[in-house]
Amino acid sequence: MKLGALLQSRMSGFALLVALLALWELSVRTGLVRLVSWPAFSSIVRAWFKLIAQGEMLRHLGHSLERLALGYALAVAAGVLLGLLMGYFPAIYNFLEPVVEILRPIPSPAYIPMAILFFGIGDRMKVFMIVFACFFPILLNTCSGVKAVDPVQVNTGRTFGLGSWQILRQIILPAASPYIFTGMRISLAVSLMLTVIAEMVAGNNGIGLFILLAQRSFRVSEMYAGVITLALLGYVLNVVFVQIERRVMRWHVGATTMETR
Amino acid sequence: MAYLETHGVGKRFTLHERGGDQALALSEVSLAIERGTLVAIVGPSGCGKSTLLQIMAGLISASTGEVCLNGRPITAPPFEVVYVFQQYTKSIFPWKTVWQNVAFGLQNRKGLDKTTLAVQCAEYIRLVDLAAFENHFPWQLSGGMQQRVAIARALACQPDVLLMDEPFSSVDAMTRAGLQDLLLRLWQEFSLTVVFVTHDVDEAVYLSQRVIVMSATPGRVVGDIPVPLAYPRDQLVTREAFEYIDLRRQLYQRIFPSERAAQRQVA
Repeated sequence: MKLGALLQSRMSGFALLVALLALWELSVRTGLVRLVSWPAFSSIVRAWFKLIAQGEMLRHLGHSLERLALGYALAVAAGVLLGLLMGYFPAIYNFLEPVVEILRPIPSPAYIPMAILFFGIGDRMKVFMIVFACFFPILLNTCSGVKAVDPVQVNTGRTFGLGSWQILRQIILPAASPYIFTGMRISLAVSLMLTVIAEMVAGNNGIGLFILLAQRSFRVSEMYAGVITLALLGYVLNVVFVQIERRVMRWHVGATTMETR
Repeated sequence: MAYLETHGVGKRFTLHERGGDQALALSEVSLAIERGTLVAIVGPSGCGKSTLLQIMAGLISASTGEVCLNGRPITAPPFEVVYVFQQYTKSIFPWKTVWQNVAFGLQNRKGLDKTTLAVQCAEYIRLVDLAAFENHFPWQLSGGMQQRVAIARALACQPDVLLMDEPFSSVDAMTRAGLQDLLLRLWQEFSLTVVFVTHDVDEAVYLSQRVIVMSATPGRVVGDIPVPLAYPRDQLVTREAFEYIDLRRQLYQRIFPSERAAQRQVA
């Protein structure tokens, strides 16, 4: 394949990834870099497979996924529900908006110490942290989505005799769903971040803790293996998310590609 | 007493959120529309004809006066009345298929069982010739087909009154002629009362039994002209009839008196 054709195809990105990993491997093999903190990629892969085989990696992964899923699900439920109400009822918006605007800009890790005071260092604290951090992007996107719903759609509901709640559920919710999915996608990345941070600050298991402990005991290959596990996890979560979004938003994909034609 | 009446309906809009300046969109509109008639409202843009229609639908409230349906004042959208929007691309829900869109009104109207609902949906979809497109999404349909979905959805609820706000203004001329004839057929088949807002004088004369003429700022009724053309009407025969051409001329003169005077002076 000529270079030009390669750059045009989707393969070029994959080729770059392979080239970078090869460079990493070579930098160690040729003796260019001699650092304890920079092991060969192959030894990281070996460590990774060993950790998988021993079940240790999967055990930590399981704990992380469990709190991530719980926190994310709670944040989605709360964010969508409150976002719908705030977007639809001006009274609720006026009532909650100042509080939201004060709480939202606080970087999430800043309230870990407070969360520890209230919830201890167990799972409840970590789930709380994930919920709190994931809640705002979903809330604000849902709220904007509701405000962007065309009045014609609401009036269509009214002329067919729908009440406020029916309009909210049958018209506003689906009409705002593209915005809601945007918020959920942002929060998915945030949830992974907060899981790792919370586990590093106060944990007895999870990938975050695993990486930290490996670093502290100079098991450098294992530390990298933990990071690679997170990369894979993040990638898989996103693929799953995109698949679900595509299925639920089948109508929207068609409608938007039509408009740009 | 007529079936649908407006008594001295006026509407003020506040121009700024904080109040202050107000614009008078409608002033003292009193109309009496008999059951089963097809009435067109024409007027230049900005004459408040859409506002009037929305007040008749119970979608917005009047600042003065009231609208009565069958003697009862309208305060909320009455279930006998369905409003058909000009913006069908928005009014037809993009996340629902043709079938689901037509079922929408029915599902929310009565406690129908599933089989009756399915039968009724299929019937109205067939009525607007969309049976082959039941499972299509709106974006897969042409503009004319989308407006047919909106009409089927409205009729499926078996309303007495259809309020149509420039429903055919954003489709091409050939599609428009087809939709006009479809509307006439359905109006007669279901003995509907139709109030049809348009800025197209030809369309008003072709469709209606009576044309109400409005003028702008503030919107007022300045003419009420009967259209004594026989039904069924025909896109060629009717439009070539002397009475048709004569009515069309009268209406143009009534709607644009000053502009026509100005043109004549230049000539």
